[in-house]
Amino acid sequence: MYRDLGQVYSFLVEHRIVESRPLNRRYRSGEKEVAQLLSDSELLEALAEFVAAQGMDLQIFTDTDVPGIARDGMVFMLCRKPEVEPPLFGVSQALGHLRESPTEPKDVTGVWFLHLWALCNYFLYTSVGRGVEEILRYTEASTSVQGLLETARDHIEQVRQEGCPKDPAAAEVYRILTSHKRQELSRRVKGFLRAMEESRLVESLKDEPDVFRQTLLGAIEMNNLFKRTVAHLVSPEDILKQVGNFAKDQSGPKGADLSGGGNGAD
Amino acid sequence: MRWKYYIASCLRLVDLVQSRHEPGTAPNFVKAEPGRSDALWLDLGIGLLDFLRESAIETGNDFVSISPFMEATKKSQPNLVDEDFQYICNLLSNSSVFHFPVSLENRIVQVGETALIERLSTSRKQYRLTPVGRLAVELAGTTSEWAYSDEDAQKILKALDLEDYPKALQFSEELRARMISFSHDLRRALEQPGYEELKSDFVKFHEAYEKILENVQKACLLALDRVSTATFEESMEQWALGRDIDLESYHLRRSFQALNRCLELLSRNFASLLSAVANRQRESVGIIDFSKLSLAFLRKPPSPKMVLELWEKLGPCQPEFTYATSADLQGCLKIQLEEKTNKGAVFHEEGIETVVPDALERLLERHGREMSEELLNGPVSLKTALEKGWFEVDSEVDGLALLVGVYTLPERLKLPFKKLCVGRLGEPIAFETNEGHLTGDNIALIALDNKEALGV
Repeated sequence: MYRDLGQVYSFLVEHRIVESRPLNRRYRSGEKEVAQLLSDSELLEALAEFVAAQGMDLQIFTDTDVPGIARDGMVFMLCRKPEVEPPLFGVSQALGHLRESPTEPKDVTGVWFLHLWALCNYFLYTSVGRGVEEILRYTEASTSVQGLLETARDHIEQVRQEGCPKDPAAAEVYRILTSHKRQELSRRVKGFLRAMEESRLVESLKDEPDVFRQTLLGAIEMNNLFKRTVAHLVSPEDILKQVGNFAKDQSGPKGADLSGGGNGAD
Repeated sequence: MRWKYYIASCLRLVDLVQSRHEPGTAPNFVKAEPGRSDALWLDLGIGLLDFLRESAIETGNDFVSISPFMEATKKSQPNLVDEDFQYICNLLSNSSVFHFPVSLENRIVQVGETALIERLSTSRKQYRLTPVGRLAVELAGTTSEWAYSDEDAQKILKALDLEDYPKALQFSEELRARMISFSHDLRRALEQPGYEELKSDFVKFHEAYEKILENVQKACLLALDRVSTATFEESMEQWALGRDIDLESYHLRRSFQALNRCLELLSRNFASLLSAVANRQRESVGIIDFSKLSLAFLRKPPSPKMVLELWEKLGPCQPEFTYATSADLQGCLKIQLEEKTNKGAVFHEEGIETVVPDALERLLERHGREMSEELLNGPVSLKTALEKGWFEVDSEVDGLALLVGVYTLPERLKLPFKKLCVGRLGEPIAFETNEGHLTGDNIALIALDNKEALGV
């Protein structure tokens, strides 16, 4: 069994998702065999314990649970846990896709990541009126290279119009976003989406490779990790109460936006 | 109340009936009664709805590309172009509203949505049925809501009794699709605010729902038992004779097994869903406006350390492993060798040379002295060198070629002369040995600064 466990673990660490019947793509090399091995409940239990010790969660879904899974199909995913840092995963490769040059400071790339990540989630969540907890609607969540690029341009134009802030940290972010060269923004957007695709958080459509849909893995992790992560990222006094509405059992599909009321989506 | 849903599902189809759109023209709606006599657009619209319905069963109602439908249709109707399909999609996804009377006394009306299909927002070809669209297809197939599914499960058994096997398969597939749809609705009810009616129904009637599931499962297991016998297989083979239907007992077994699996998962989920639904104290983040969040990140930027943490938790990441460098491995190897041997390991770069003489060196070792002494006396021709046997070295080398090589590299002879050159003498040579032969010009090695030997 250890050999099988090693094979399954190795595949999941590399690809993060195993589908017994992939809907929108071909089988990856070895995936069919791994999916068959995962039908063994003993191996499944051992694997779940093994990855849990490394800060990850093994999640399993069938076609009865969520849409977007082939008939009689099962999906196995390796998800990051909110309360621990998985030792196996790092950002170096994604960093390489996003940065403009190998010597670019990590802090600069981090600023670009943060803003592109927020704008990407505008397409995946805000524009379709979807809360971060609405996992099942992941099939509706999509963005495109062109769409994200145009939104990024609009965002930077808005940043420019706000003017350079007085706060030194904010001024530095302002400088990074507004001093990009021609074509640089397009490269960063494509690099960001490529990094997201390689991490299996989005997948491109077969017929339209410039259109990217959120994967079930992306939706699950966003649901599991968003509250604990973003809540630490922004100042709790003013930004958090504007961004997140930690209300109890709201009456309708409405959330707070930063303007203080109404539907979240523009 | 079902009339409202009936009308909602029909309006777009009526548009297709009344459409006078011409093939190949811009995809705008042109209405004129009584519409085309060949019912082309209605045919395409229904075909598309059926295609999306089948895809919904296979994919759990995911968005799918309509390219296969377009390609299949163009084979039978090659005059159609992409704009014609775009026209159908535009029309069926038209989300107009109509007003339906609820209370004439108080003049209360409800609004109904009419779009039968919806498009994935950033795609051109990915579509799926809307809830109204699903209802339209179900109404066309005269199926009922999931709460009456135990009656539909009995229909499967009745169809088997009547040997109406295609119908038995159809009932099974529709029932399974309905169960899955209900399962998804329950999950959605947990994920998002709203769905109050569904949640309160579920809490109120959960015992009845569990009973329904139990009855459906019993009927399904009975059906499965019936079609799994050898007798049934034989009788079905008899039934299939003379009928142009590609249906075997395997198809029925597979469908009933899939339905049974779906029911097992649903009943397992019921208990957990019930407690989650009953717990009304639920925290919800709600809908975040991420475009405004991105501006918040400008006004109060998080520290780089926090950004990195966000990235590691929520952003794109890849497996990263540490591994030893080659310097580490060499060091480990040295330590291991020293432990196993009495003396330390020695490597090439530490100064020990074990030089193996090459073929030319072996020739010079044997005949170089003679050649040098002869050159002191004057020019040495190749013919003389061959006659003296200076090409003999050992069995592994081609001595003839090597000897000629000496003439091209005279400095290997280590002579005191600085001006060595090769000249050509008059008569050509032809020399044979057991190993080979040499023909060509008779060249001579001449030391120009050996004036005594040259008589200068």
